[in-house]
Amino acid sequence: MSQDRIRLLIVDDEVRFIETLSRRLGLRDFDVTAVTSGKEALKTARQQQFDLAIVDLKMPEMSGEQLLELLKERDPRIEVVILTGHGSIDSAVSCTKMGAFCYLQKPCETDELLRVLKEAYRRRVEKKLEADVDRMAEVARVASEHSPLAALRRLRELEKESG
Amino acid sequence: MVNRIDADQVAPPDVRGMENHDHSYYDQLRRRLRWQLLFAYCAPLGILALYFHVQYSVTLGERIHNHLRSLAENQRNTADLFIQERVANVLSAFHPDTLNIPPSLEDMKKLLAELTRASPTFVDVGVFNPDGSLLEYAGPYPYLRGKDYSGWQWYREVLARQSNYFVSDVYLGFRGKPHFIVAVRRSVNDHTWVLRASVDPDKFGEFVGSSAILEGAQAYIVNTKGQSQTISLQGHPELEVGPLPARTGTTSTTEFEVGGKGYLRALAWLTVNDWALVVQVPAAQAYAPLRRARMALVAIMVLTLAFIVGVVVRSTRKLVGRIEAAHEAQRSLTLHLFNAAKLASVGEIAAGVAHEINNPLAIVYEEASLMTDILDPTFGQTPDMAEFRERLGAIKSASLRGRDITRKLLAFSRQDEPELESVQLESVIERVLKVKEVDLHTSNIEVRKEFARDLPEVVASANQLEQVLLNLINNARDAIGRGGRITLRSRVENGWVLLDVEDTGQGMTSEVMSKVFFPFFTTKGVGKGTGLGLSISYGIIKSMGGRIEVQSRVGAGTTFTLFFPLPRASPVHAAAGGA
Repeated sequence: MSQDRIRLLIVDDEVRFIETLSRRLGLRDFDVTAVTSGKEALKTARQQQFDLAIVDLKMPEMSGEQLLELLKERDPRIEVVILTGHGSIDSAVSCTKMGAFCYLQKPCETDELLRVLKEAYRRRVEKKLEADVDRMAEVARVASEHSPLAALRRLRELEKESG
Repeated sequence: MVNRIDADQVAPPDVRGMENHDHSYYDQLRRRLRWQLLFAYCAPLGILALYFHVQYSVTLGERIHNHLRSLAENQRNTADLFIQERVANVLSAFHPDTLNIPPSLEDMKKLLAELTRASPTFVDVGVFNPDGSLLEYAGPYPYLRGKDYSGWQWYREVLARQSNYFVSDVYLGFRGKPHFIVAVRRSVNDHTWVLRASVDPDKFGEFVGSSAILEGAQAYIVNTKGQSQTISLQGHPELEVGPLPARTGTTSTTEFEVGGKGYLRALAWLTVNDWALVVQVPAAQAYAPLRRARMALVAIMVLTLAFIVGVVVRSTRKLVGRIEAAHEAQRSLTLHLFNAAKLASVGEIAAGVAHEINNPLAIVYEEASLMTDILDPTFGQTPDMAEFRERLGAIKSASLRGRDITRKLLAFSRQDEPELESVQLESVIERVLKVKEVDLHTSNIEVRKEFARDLPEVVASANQLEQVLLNLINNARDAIGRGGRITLRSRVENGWVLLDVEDTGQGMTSEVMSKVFFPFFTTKGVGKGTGLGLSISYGIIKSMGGRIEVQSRVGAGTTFTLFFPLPRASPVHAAAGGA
């Protein structure tokens, strides 16, 4: 967690909506990138890392569910918040199963959205910490059990894994 | 393999029977049913009555003839016996032990007394000399004594006969009064003497006619020339018999008409002489039992018919009333089902519409919140009036977007009574596509429209047609899932306006196809489809005089084809007439 601001990706085909929302979240210290389709979102996610994503469900070409699956596949630690105008219990259940952090309905009150985003971010941080602790334990184990050259090689691998 | 079915072959009957019937239909049904039932009940009854009537008439006619014949024979026997008795009286009177030849007046008087004691029908008695002159006489006509009878027919007959007696026809004779005689001959010393007794024909007639035989019947005796021997026929042309046919052993019966009235006559030959006994009765009298039976039959028939007519009229009225009520109930049920299905599909699209409304609402919320943020000093923003105006404009247009969506939904969910009118298929399709536009777009479904040029208008309820198309498009979308194509194709073919709704979805097996028009049959998950859409659509299209066909291939897609009857006065119809 070297950067100060939370890196947030917003994906929605409503141009006006993402423009306003990203500006408002920008005012609240979020580092926001907004795109209008799933394809663009994946392209952007390949270029830079995000902590959180806000994803709409009903979009042409690629649905929110598909995008959620692909984002999670790429980065299991990214927390995705679904924000949709078309809420249904069925889709909420299926999105949660696919690893969505929360399922919100449009229009969503600012306080509620901020609370959810903060919680999502906390979850991400916690996950990161847990991963770091595991890594430290692994480093200690590697250092004690392997030859110095093998230990160096294993540490480089761990470095890569943690991204 | 492409499966193809006509909905008429597979739709359940409760969905099929959705036609509307007006009052005249039920009147006609009532009348037809009434006539059929009346015919069914009355025809066998009439045939049976006719058969029994004919049988009864024949049997009764035979019985009446037989009765008359036996009456005539009885009377004939009586008359025969009477004459035989009279002959026996006269024969015994002329016996040598009884009468001396030549007799004295006293002998004659005694003889007459004996004869009248035996039968009061005897009038007088006389003994004739062998030369034919009346020798001695006792009776009311003493001036006959000495008269010569040798030229008289009866005298010659009694002498010539093998039997020694003769019974004459009625004649006037010297006395000038009708009588007939019983004459016997006797030989004494080679001379033939004749004894004659005359009989009063009136008394004989009374005797013959008196044994009162049948009400209204007449019994009398005629000779071979048809002359009555017992009663006067003057003024009674119906009793004239005419010359008798040759004697037969049997008794004959005849029916004839005189002066427009029918009569029945039996004729029986006497055995002692050439007389015949006639019994005659007016046909009306003879056939009175038959007439009574016929009247009773007619009365029974009329009563039975009246009863049957009453029952049939009552039961058909009741039955047709029930049919009408059942149709009415079915119609109202169908309407309710239609409205229920419509509400269900409204519910289905409401979910889609929620998305449509929530999106502009989210824009309104975010724009307003952003302006609040800008005005909030915490964020250190400088309010820019131009920007505010632009954002307020966005809020306005988002609100209008929401209003348009609710309008479309409201226009769709009207629950009007279906009203048939001339409808342009394209415009109905466009209206439905507008409602489904975003849904189809976000599901990556391309809509292709292939409308025939100058397509004639069809007679339909636009409201119901929207419902049908929405059902078909919803089904097509569900069959496709994500990414595919729906083709809407209209054309005119063989006097029908056709509309295909073709999808590139998963298709159906023939088993599924055979059930799609059944109410509550659905392949969609629980809570996703009511299973009413296609059965309702089928009913709607039927009520417009059209039909639905389905073609499907598993894995390739399904085509629903709607057939609308071409309106009569359509110019396109004329042009397509040869097709």
